[in-house]
This record gives sequence, structure tokens and C-alpha cells, in this order.
Amino acid sequence: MVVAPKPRWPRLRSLRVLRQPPVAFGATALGAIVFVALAAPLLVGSGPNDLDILGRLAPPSALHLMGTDDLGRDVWSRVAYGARLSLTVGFLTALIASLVGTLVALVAGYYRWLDEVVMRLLDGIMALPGVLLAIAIMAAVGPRVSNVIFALSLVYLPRCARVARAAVLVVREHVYVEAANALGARDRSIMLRHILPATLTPVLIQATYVFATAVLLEAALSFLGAGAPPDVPSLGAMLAEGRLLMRQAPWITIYPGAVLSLTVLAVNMIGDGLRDALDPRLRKG
Amino acid sequence: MAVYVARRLGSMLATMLVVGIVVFFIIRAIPGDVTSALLGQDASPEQVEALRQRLSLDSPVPAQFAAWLGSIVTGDFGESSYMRMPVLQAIAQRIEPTGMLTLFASVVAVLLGLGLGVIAAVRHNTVVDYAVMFIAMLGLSLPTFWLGLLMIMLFAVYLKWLPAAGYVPLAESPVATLRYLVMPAVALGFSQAAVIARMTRASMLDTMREDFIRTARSKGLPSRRVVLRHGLRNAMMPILTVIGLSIATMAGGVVVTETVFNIPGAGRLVIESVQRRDYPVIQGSVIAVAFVFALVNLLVDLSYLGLDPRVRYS
Repeated sequence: MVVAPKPRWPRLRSLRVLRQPPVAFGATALGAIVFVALAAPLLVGSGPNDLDILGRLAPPSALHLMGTDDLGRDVWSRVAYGARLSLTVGFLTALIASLVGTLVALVAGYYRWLDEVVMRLLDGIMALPGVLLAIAIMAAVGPRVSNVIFALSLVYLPRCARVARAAVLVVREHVYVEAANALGARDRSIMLRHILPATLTPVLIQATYVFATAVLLEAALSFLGAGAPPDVPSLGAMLAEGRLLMRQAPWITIYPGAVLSLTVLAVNMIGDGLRDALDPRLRKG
Repeated sequence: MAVYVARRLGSMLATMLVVGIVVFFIIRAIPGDVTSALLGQDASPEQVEALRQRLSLDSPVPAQFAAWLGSIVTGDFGESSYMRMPVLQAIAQRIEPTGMLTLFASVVAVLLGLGLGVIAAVRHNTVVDYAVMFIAMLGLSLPTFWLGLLMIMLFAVYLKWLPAAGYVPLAESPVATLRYLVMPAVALGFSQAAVIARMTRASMLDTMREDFIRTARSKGLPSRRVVLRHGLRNAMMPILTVIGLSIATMAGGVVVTETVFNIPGAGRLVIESVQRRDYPVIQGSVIAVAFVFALVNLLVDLSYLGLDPRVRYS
């Protein structure tokens, strides 16, 4: 028997994490990108799909902050709307993968007979590189934004479930779970009130990394033409167009990639900061 | 030891079985009839009937799965509906560039990752450590395809040091092969180098706190020997696990890198097959990569035997 204090719901004692320079940088950058993505219609002069055949491949200027592409579409406008897609897909993927992952881990970790089967299944999904699994799913279900979110959630579900399960396995052995059981608490109540809180910290940390990698993977899928449909502006698809025009119009490649990188960098920095703040055991020496 | 090996083999087989189930259901998720997905639109009724027989489509789903699994296990991956040749042959034709790219990228990732990780751990909490960690953070955050495009702009378009894109087979000119692969290998290897560097640093920091390190130092061993022989060797187990995962991740990442650098490899074949709705090739490639993945993990697990005597007796 292991005697340990009952885990509490995770709480950031204050917003002190924000004072670490990397986290402050990440939060500021992510805040700015979220603002641009939300306020895109107010910030851009022309719509992301507005064509201006006479103004094709124009370099950055006061009129077109980031220049125009080969159809005369405003790159800044497309970047703003593309960031919208990146953030939406990243956020929803992280949310779905961590919610479903936690649920799977709770049930599998609590009912031991299920554990082996579920974990084997998840191992099998993890044995496929994320890009390839996502491409295969997208090839089967067709190009829609909701399908991208579905495919990415399936790719990241096993990772979240593994992290949550590790926490469940530790807590399951604790005396207070046994005590709750002895007092006649129902399984559901034990899972939700006594075990669930212990999984939240690791899952939250994992979710930030899922967010970051899902943004990258969505861009990769769009870059390969296996992601969102062509009429939805996507940073990855812009890079695929920019690749063919690298010599004449480098701005089509540089700006979307920079915004994409900054988004992922910001989320990763926040993730590292959260991990240090919430999980003292992992704190760097 | 035999038990350990048998257990690992068993878990590899179990994983492959699950991969089979996943792929089987993805193919079944394609809207419309399975035969039209696998044969293409212009298949003759005889072909359709032959495939229905082969896949036992008139039997219940478990029997269908068994029949499908049976053909996969015997190496029959079906025929490409676009190229009209066996899937394995189509993949084999394109495997050289992919193999070379994965190999070079792995070398880049392992050397860079181990090197940076050890340096950061030895210089813990100094400017060097922070700089390495920042580089690793960049590696995790920059999309490989954007990094690749920037490298092409700088080294091929602007400086004209390296060819922008393409591939030369090894048999034609090994030197040219290398020149064409430098940028793709760095682009693909950099993000995994970051993953390996972070793990190396963390594992080294743990190990360097151990008593035997202090003993080695107080014996008067030179610092380099303490770090590499006593430190790194003992820190290696978790690092090897990550290296195994990294190599497998890169085997999937070639899909993107080959597109950026226009390399006619198996990764490009997957993308072309997606565009042509050539499902047998997609299915075959996914299973092939999963097999490589499982094999690499098996090799990593077996390498523990040599690295840590305790595993041999457990």
C-alpha cells in the first residue's frame, strides 16, 4: 500500500510562470497571432481569395504588406486567415485528443482487463508515423477541415491516453482509492472525483505539445495537398505555392513560414514553462 | 535472455496485427465499393469478380480480414491500380532515394543530437547550455518543409553551392548523390536532432549526479573519459529509445522532405498515389513503413541487451 496525499486539481499558484522570459515571449507572440487570426476581417484590406490579376506577384508594399501571390491575392490577408485555420485545427485537435485520451485511460486504467487490449490498440496506431497515418486517413475520407481535425485527433489520441494512463496507474494504488472503494463509492464516482484530478496536470502539459505538433502536421498535410480543401487559406498550402515561385517571389514562402514557425515556437515555449511550473519533478536541475 | 527476445518479438507481432486492423478499416472507410477503390474506375467485371473472390467480400468481416491478412503476410500487397504492377515492385523501384535520405538524416540527427545534448549537460546552466536549448527549441518548432525551402533559397538560389532539388542514383555518381542529399538530410534530421538533444541532456544531467561519476572523477580520470565512458554510456538507454522513435519518424517524414526537394522516392510515390487515388499503393506503403518502424524498435530493444547486463538476466 502506498500512502500519499490525495492529488488536488492542478492550480497555478499565481501567474508567476509568465515572468519567465521564454513563457512571457511565447504568451505575447501567441496572443498577437490569436488576435490577428480573430480580427482578420478587420485587419486586412482585401479578402484572402480576392483576385487581382493586374497586381500579380507584387513585392511587399504599403498596399500589400506581404506582397501578392501569382493570382494577385494579398499574402497578408491569406496569412491572417491561414493562422485562423492553424489555430482552430491545433486547438480542437489538442482538445479532442486529450479529452478522449483521458477518458480511454480512465476506463482502461481502472478496469484492468481492458487495459491490455486498449494499450495494444494504441501502440499499433502509434507504430504508424503521424504524417503517413494522417495522409492515409485523409485519402480515404476526403479533403475537409473537419476531416483534418478527425485525422489529427486520431494520430495524437494514443499519446494523450498513454500520459493519462501513467497517472491513473500511480493513483489507482493509493489508499484513498481503496478507502473510497471500501466505503461503497461507485466506480464512476471514484474515477471522476478521485482519479481524474491526478491526470489533469500531465494531460494539460501533453495537450500543449499536441497543439504545437498538430499545427505543424496540418501545415504539412496542406503543403502536400492532402489537407484542407483548396479554397480554405492555409499556411502549408501557401508554402507549396511559394515553393514554385521561390526565385521570383520569395515573400510568398517567407512570411507564411515565419508566422507558422512563430506560432509553434510560442506554444512550445508556453508548454515548457507550464511543465516546469506544474510538475516540480521534471523541473530542470 | 531468450524470454526477453521472445517477448519483444511477440509484442512486435501484436503491434503489426493492430496496424493491419487499422489499415484494413481505413481502406473500408473509403466511400463506395472496396473493389472500385482498389481497382480504379475502369476495371472489367471479371477483374472485379476476381478481387471479390480474393478478398472474400461475400463472407463476414472477420473472414474478410483473415483473407486480407493472409495475402499481406505472404507478401501479396495487390496491384497498383494506376501503374498496373505489383505494389511491392512499385515501391522497390523508388526505395533507393528514400533509404539514402533516411540514412543520412539519421546520421545528422544522431551526431548533432548527441553532441549538442552532451555539451549542454556538461555546460549545465551556462550560456552554452541556454544556446543549445534554444537551438533545440527552434528544431522542434520550425516546419521541416519551411526550413528546406529557406535552405534552397540560401544555398542553391543565392550562393549556388548546392543543387536546389532532385536526386542522382548512387550507381551513377556517389559524390553527386551526396551533394543532392546534404540539404534534404539536414532539413529532415534537424528536428529529430532537437528531440535527441533534449533527451540526451536530461538523461546526462541525471547520470552525472550519480555516485559512480564522483568516484570516477576522484580516481583522477580525465574529464572526457568520465563524460563519455561513464556518463554517456550509462545515460544511453532512454536516449536509444528516443533515437529509435526518431528514425521511424523520419521514415514517415520523407514524404514531406521528398516533396520539398523533388526527390523521386517512395515518399513521393505515396503523395502521387493519393492524387491518383491509387489505394493499393497507399496501403502497401503504410504497412511497409510500419514494418520498418516496428523493426527499428525491435533493434533498439535488443540493443539494450548489449548495453545493460541487467536486461540479460531479467
